[in-house]
Amino acid sequence: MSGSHVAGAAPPRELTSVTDEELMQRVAGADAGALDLLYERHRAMAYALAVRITGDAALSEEVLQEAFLGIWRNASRYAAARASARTWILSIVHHRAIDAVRRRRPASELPDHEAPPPASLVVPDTWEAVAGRLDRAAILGALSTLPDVQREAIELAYFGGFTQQEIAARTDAPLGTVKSRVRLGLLALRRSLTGDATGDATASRDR
Amino acid sequence: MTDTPLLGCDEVRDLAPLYVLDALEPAEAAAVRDHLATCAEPHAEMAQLGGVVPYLAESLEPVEPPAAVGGRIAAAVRADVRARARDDTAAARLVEGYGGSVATEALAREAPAPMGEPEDLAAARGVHGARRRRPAWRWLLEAAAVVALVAVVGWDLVLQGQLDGARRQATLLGNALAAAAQAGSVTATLQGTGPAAGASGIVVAASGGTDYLVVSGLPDPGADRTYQAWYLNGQTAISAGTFQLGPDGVTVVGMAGTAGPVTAMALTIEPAGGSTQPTSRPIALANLTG
Repeated sequence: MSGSHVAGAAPPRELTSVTDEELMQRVAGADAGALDLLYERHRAMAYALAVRITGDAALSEEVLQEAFLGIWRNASRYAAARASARTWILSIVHHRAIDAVRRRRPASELPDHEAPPPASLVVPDTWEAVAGRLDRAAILGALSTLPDVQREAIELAYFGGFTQQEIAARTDAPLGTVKSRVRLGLLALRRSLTGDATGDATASRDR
Repeated sequence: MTDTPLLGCDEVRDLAPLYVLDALEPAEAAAVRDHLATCAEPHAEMAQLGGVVPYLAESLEPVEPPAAVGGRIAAAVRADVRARARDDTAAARLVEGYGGSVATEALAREAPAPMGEPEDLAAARGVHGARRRRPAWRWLLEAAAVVALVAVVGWDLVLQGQLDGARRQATLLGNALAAAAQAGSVTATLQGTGPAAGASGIVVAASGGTDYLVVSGLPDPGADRTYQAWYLNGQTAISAGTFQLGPDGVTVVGMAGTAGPVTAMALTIEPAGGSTQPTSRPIALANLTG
C-alpha cells in the first residue's frame, strides 16, 4: 500500500478527520481507498490479536488478509448503531483467528499432553503507548484483579478458542462452573472498567 | 438450518457468556443467533456481558504486520472493483447513451474506479454502440466552451434551509427560472439512467452566482444515503453538495458554483453525509457546455 491516503483526487482536508464509521460506509460503496485507510488504522491491533490467538506469524498474515477482504465484501452489513467500526473489524479478525486454531487443533486433543499452558494476562511495569481512547493500563489492571480461575476461563475461551467442554477438561471443572466463571469474570471486568454495579444482583445468584 | 437446536430464553442466557466471547461451536452460536433474532425478550445479558469483550482485544500491544499483507489486500480489492465494473452494464449503457469515443475513454481514465476502465467500456460500446438514448446530448469531457462560475466551493447547499417546504420550493423555482432567463446562463437537460431513468429535469448554470437544479422523479436514495451533485470537468469531480428529495417528487436545489471550467453536472447516490469523490456511477447527467 502506498503511503498516501487518496490516489488521484485532490486531498480534501476532511480525510484526516473522517471517522472509522464513515470510512466503513464508503467501503460499502466500493471505495478501495477507504478500506486502505481502515487497514492502516487498525492493522496493528488486528495482527496482534491474530498472533496472540494463533501463535503463528504466517497463519496470522492469512487471517489478517482474509479478515479485511471479508470486511471489503461485507461492509454493507456493518451497522454503526450496534458497535464501533473498530470493534466490528476486531471481532471479524477474532472469529477468523479462532476458526483457524480450531481447524489446526486435532479433534482428539488431550489437554494434559497438548499445547503449552495459556499465557497469563500480566500487567506490565511500565509502558508509553496508549491506543486511542482506551487505556491499556486500565484494562490490564482490571484483568489482574480477577480471581485466577475467572481470568483463566476467559483467557481460554477468548484467546485460546477452546470450547466450553475443552475448558472444563483443561481446568478440571464442571461445565456449569466454567460458564459461571466466565460470566462472573466478564461482569467483574465491566464493574472495574465502567463502575457499573447493576450486574451484581444476578452474579451473586450464579455460584 | 433445520438441524440447529431450538433454544429457549433460559438456555440462551446460560450460553451468553461464551456466546459473547465467540467461543461456542458454530451450530450452538447459530442457534443463539436465531433465538435472538426472533425473541421478544430484550436479553440484556448480551450487551451486559458483551460490552467488555472488545476490551480484551484492546489489552494487547499492537504489532505491525509485514508490509506485504497490505499490498495483497489492496491488490485483491482493486481487482474486485475491476471485476465488478466488467459485470455491471449500467455504466456501459450510460456512457454509450452519450456517445463519443474520445469522451468515453477520457471519462474512463479520469473518473473514479467504480466507473470502470477503458478496455471494459470499449468492449461494452462495441456491443451497444448502435443504440443511443438521446442523440442530442453528448457526454462531454472534451475541451469545450468554458462556463466560468464565480463563488466558493462549498459542501453545503446555498438557500436550502431558511424557508420551509413549499414556500422554499416556489422561491427556488422562481429563482431558477429567473437565472435561466439571464444572458450568459446555460440551461441543460438532465438525463437520468438506471433507477433514475424516469427522472426529468434541468440544470441552470448561471454566469455568476447560484446554479440551480430542478428535477422530478428521482427515486428515494435509501436509508443512510443521500444525493450528491458534482461539477465535472476534464480532470475531476468537484462536489456541488448533497441534497434530499423535495416534496411531491420535485426537487429544486440552489448550488454555489465552482471556480474553473465546468463541462457537466452529475448526480450520484452517496452514503449519508456525502463523499469526497463519487463512489458510484452517476444516475443523472447534464451537459453544461451548451
